[in-house]
Amino acid sequence: MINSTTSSMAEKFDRQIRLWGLEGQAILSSSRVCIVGRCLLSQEILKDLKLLGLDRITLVCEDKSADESIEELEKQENFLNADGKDINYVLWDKKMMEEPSFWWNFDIIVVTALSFARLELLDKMSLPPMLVAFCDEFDGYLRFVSQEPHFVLHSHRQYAIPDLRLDRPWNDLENALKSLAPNASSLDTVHTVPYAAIIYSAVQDLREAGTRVTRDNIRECISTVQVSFGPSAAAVNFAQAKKFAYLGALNSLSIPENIEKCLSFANVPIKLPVNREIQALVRILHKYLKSEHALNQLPVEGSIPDMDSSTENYNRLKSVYQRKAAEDIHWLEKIASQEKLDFELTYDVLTTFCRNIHSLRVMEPSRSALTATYSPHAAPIEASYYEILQKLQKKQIGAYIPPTIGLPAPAFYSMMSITAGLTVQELAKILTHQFVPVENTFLFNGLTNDIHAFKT
Amino acid sequence: MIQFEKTASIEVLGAENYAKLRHTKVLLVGAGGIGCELLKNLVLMGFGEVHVVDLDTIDLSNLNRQFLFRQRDIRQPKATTAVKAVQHISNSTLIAYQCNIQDTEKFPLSWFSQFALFFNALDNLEARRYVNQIAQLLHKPLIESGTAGFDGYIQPIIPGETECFDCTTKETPKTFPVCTIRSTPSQPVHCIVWAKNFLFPQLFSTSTTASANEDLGTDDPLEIERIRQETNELRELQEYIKSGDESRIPTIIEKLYTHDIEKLLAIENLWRTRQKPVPLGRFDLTDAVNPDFNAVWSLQEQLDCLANATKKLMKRQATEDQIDFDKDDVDSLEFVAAAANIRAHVFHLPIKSIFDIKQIAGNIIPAIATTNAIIAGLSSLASLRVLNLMKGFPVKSPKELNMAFTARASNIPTHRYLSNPVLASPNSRCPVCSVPRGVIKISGKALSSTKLQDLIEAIRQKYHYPGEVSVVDKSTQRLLADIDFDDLLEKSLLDLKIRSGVLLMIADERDDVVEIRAGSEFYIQEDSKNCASHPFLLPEMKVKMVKSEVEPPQESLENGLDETTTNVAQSSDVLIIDEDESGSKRKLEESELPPNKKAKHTEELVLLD
Repeated sequence: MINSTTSSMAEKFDRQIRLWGLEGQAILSSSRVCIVGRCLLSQEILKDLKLLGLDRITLVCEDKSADESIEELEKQENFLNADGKDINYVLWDKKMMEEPSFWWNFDIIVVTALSFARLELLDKMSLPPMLVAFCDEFDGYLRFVSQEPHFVLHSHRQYAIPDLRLDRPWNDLENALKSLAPNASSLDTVHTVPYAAIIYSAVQDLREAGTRVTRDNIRECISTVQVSFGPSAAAVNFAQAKKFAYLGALNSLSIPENIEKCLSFANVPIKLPVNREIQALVRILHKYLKSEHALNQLPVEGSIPDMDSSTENYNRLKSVYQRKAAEDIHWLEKIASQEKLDFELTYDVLTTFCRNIHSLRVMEPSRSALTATYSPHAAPIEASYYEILQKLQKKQIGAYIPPTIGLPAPAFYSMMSITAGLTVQELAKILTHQFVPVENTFLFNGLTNDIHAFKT
Repeated sequence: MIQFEKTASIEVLGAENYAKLRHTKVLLVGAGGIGCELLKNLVLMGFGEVHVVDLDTIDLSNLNRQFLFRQRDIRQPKATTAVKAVQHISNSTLIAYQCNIQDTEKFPLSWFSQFALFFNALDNLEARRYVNQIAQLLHKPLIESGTAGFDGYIQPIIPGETECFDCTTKETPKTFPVCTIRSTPSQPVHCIVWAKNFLFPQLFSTSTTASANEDLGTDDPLEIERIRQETNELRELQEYIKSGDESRIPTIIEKLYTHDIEKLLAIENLWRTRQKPVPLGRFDLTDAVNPDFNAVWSLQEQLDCLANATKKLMKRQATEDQIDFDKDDVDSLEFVAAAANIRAHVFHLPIKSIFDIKQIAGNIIPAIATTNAIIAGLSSLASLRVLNLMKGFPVKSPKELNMAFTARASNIPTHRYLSNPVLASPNSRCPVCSVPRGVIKISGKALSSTKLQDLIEAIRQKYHYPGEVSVVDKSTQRLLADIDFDDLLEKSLLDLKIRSGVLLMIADERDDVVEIRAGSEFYIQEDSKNCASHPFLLPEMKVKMVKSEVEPPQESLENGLDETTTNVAQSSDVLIIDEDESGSKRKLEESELPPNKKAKHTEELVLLD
């Protein structure tokens, strides 16, 4: 049952729920964020966080006593913050801040302007994921710091490849594809054949002839069939079959790079709950691939793209894929039940996992907020960019005096706005484990709109 | 804070430029997602005067990004509310208008000319195009912007120097043939369009009448006959709705999903290659209502929802007279969603949740605060360069300015998170900026004393159109005169409603010569002061001769576009390219972008907020 508060929440956040779903929004709404450093940039970050529906925010300020302009900041906060619960202000307290347990109250920490000693302190401890952001004049930077790899459950790939398994269909699928295949003796129904069956039939023809199964060969083969059928094969489905001919040349035994990489992180130590859950799924996947059921093929996604065909043929094909997907999930479930997990992997979670399995990603955040030392062995970064980064970090941590309005160093307000927007955007990706966040540092210039990303 | 910003601004701009900024008047069109952020930035940067125009009122679903608005502001006008919200931190003169920017009475051309720069922060193509045209007419810079989810863009437009908004073709909303919608839906969207654009207006708003000669997209005489017949039958249903008699609801449902489907089935031709729909058959209605808009409902739930929504709409009709579909009007959304889903069921198509149908029926584009903040920030920074106020970064040529695109994911090659192609030269085939245009100033008196013929003659004389011309009122797309149509020539401009704000399009109609005069456009502006001695004043401008040719087919136009970009680069822009080579390395790299890459990008990102 959905009560009126949830539905008005859903209405308010409707436009972003369309990006990351209700589940993504639920994560954001319950996430606890700590912002360290009170300055104009953190004001903008606060505003953006609240707009996305993050209400559990703690702001760690430096010593209040020396601060004369706190009233101005408060005015600014009132102006920028949308409706919502108040922010929890905490003054920097050395003893408290030295305790990792204080920081583990949060799901993510955002660091803006902070003195070197204090940033160093944070850097020494093993803390939840951190986003370190700063801008000065027209340069800005952002770094994603974490002590463990970050798994992305759903990267929302822009170009998804349909998971059709035309190279190695299981029996059920093979039968369906064969019986649907375009047939010279029933020319009046040729236009009702889904393209998957046209491609498969071409693949079969090529194999029988001993010809290599490549995209171009499949395409050529389809053309020949089409010509032999005459005008009845001039339909959309044949055009689609040629367009998607590459689907017949895929090798479903080869595990995509992104998933291979995830598998290689299957056993590294991990602390964060969502990462642990996804890692457990990856371990289960690893066992699944080795199982007699899978024979090294990924679980079937289960959904198929739109194909021009009769509804009957389409639905028949669809149900074959759905049946197999359900079977595969069942196997995963069996493997999961043998794993010793201190949390439950529900059928729903496994379903979501399988449906987006090609969207699975893992990335490596920076281990340190402070790596400003230029190392030629690190990922290539041009010296000029390195200089900018160094300049920014110096300003960020250097000679830090309590937060007056003049700090961070004067720059255009628009740069704060852009930097905050980028920071909170990455924060949402990290917390929802959807979309791929920055790996792991980027620099940008607000004048030239130039951006440069690199790994440290 | 204001104090701080001022010093910061002076530091970056220099005292002189800062003083200029304090005297700069800009126009911000749109106070939505980007508009709120932009207004805040412009005020904090210290712009002297900002005028904000927005027609809309605030809606609950705006509050996830339009941070100047609160729950209590819902249903208040956006422009005035936004201005009120920034007033107390502002040092600038702020003026708000709750109006349509295309209202020529409220905003005549002369009103636009007071601004140094326009910012587009709009959510629709039509208004974007309009402001672009005004910018071209007045030779004022425009910074165009838009976002959709994680994607966003800004494009500075410098008339005469860089591409205008219409230099690249924009994606227009998808349309479907009438027969697909009315007789043979094959996708859920066809059922949604049927429910929203056909059924709903037929039942609840009185004004819609299908025009007799609309293109039905079918030649089957039986099918055409049936479509016409059905339209008439629906009038009967409208009477039921008006009667307010709830007991008729089952009859309505039966007619739509059983009888009408049976009649379609009778047209055998339709089902030779298609799966036949199955009429709904017997059904019962209950009062149960499923509140979960994210779930995919059962057929029973759809039927209950449809009946329930119809009841509510029937009651409202008594007082509201006419109800238009609005995605935020729950009754109308429920009606359309359930009606579409039941039809989808009948045609064996997938059923969708109300949440999904809302997105399709309401053309909803995802939107988040962060992308808007980034884009508005980039737009406000670009404005300083466009106005050439940046002390350390003088802009020698508009081509040094960048567009900017944000992409949702840093997983696609990371440098594309934000990409910054340089601005292209105007497209010589652009329907807007390649056409010479000017303002015809005319006295109020002359509007009634001048005949259309007189005006056309004067234009032909001045711009050397020796033969027949055609004249179209572009604002309403009405033909005023051409080679076969001279009925209106003797009428006065006043009679023809040619007045301030009207845009006349002139075309050389000769088809027997190799070279013709290019087309031209004229904006009519009433100006009695400057027209004391003449009834009207034509603008000083040159209209070139062009090769007479039939419109190239759509496909070759794309190639033509690339060609022109290359040609232009070879002729007038050699200088700039040289500068780039001696200048920064990055720019050179950027200029190597394939010319159509950027155009494509723009296309994808057109209908944005």
